[in-house]
Amino acid sequence: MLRNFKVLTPSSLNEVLYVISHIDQPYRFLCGGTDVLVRMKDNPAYAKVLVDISKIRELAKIEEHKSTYVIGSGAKHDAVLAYAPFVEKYNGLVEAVAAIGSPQIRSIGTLGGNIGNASPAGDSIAPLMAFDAEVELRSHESNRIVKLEDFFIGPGKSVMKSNEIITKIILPKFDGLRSGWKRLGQRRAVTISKVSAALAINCVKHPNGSIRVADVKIALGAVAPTVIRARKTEKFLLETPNLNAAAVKQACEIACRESRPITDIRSNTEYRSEMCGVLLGDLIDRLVFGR
Amino acid sequence: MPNKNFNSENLELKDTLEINFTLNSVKRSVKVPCTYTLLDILRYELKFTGTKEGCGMGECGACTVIMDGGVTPACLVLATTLEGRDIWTIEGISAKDDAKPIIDAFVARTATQCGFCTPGMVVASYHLLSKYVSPTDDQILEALSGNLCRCTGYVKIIEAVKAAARDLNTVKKEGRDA
Repeated sequence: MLRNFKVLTPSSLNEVLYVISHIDQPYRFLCGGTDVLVRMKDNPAYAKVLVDISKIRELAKIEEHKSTYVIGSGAKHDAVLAYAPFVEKYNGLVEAVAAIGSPQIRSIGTLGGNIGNASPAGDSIAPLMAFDAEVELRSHESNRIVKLEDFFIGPGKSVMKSNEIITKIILPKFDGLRSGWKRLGQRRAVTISKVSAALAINCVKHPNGSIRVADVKIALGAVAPTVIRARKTEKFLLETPNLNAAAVKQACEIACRESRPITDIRSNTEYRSEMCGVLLGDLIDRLVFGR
Repeated sequence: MPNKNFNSENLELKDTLEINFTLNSVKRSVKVPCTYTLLDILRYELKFTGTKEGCGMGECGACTVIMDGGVTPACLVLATTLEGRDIWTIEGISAKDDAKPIIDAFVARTATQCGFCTPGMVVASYHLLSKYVSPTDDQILEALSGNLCRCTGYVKIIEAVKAAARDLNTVKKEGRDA
């Protein structure tokens, strides 16, 4: 049973910002609770105060703007999966979010929680990072936008300050990108990824049959202290005159070398590194060659 | 941390909460320690012991209830987040007509052995069949992917859900024809 903590129940975002800038003891946000309560059952010292943000309605919205989609940090995984424009155009994000936890976890867990935890294995992060997503961090005094790629600084660590909250995830609109996500885990459901990869790609086929990569974004999960963009692999693919089997193989090898995985209870360095290439190859096969 | 711009009660640290919610269509009000989860409230406060505690970590599905229309692990819903929610537990669901074919099918197919996972399995199955009249095999596996059973090996549970779907469709068809 849980014990030894208190709760704060602010009723608006302004109240949230006020309490987190004045609170004088370690606190954690509570929205879905799928991570924070599990951690507190393991370690009662994890937080002395929980700030309940589950009823702040403006944090749960998903909205379309001119050149972006704005996802409230308190939007549940199920809400992301039910949002038609994502299902239509952000397949990589939908595939990843649909693989998080179980139906029970997805009905209460939130996208902001998945990001705020800053786990290198957080499944929604790789596709969001591949799509150049940004997060809005707000405090009582300030408001800043940080690229998701610059948000994480290590396992469980981010640039978010103790008086800040993630309010929004900002997802740019794209034309022509096809995207996908794939992971390897111990089981098919209720599993933490050993390694995951997100790919968004736009290819142009020339009349002579050669394929040029017009745009490509790759993010790799659980193979470095944070989710990472595979910038060298992206650069190689963009400069490749023809995306044939040999070029795909080479790109996958570069992705393996870009990863910096560790050995832990879920997998080991060698396997994770090699699987980066395998997952990327599978995604290219599916999204570019329809295999 | 007082501030004249805000409702001071919202800015106070609390260790006890008065929570109002709806349980199986009945309005409830409970006063509980803030450390209580929905599962604790159901089992210890209201003596609704049909919902089981398995892992307590949101992994096993034994404590599955329906909250605001979604399958939810009661062990991960803290008292404060319960305020104003609509909760259905196995006690409320099993009293519904359209849950009877599910329960009958679980019994008839021996989809239950020790029985500990069964309430959660039935709640998840009921939620599935209220969304899809004739679920595909993949939809059944997906819907039950958050519910662990250590006895049956799942085959009989999946067969029971399929049988219940057929049964429910027959009942609906007869209802239309009559």
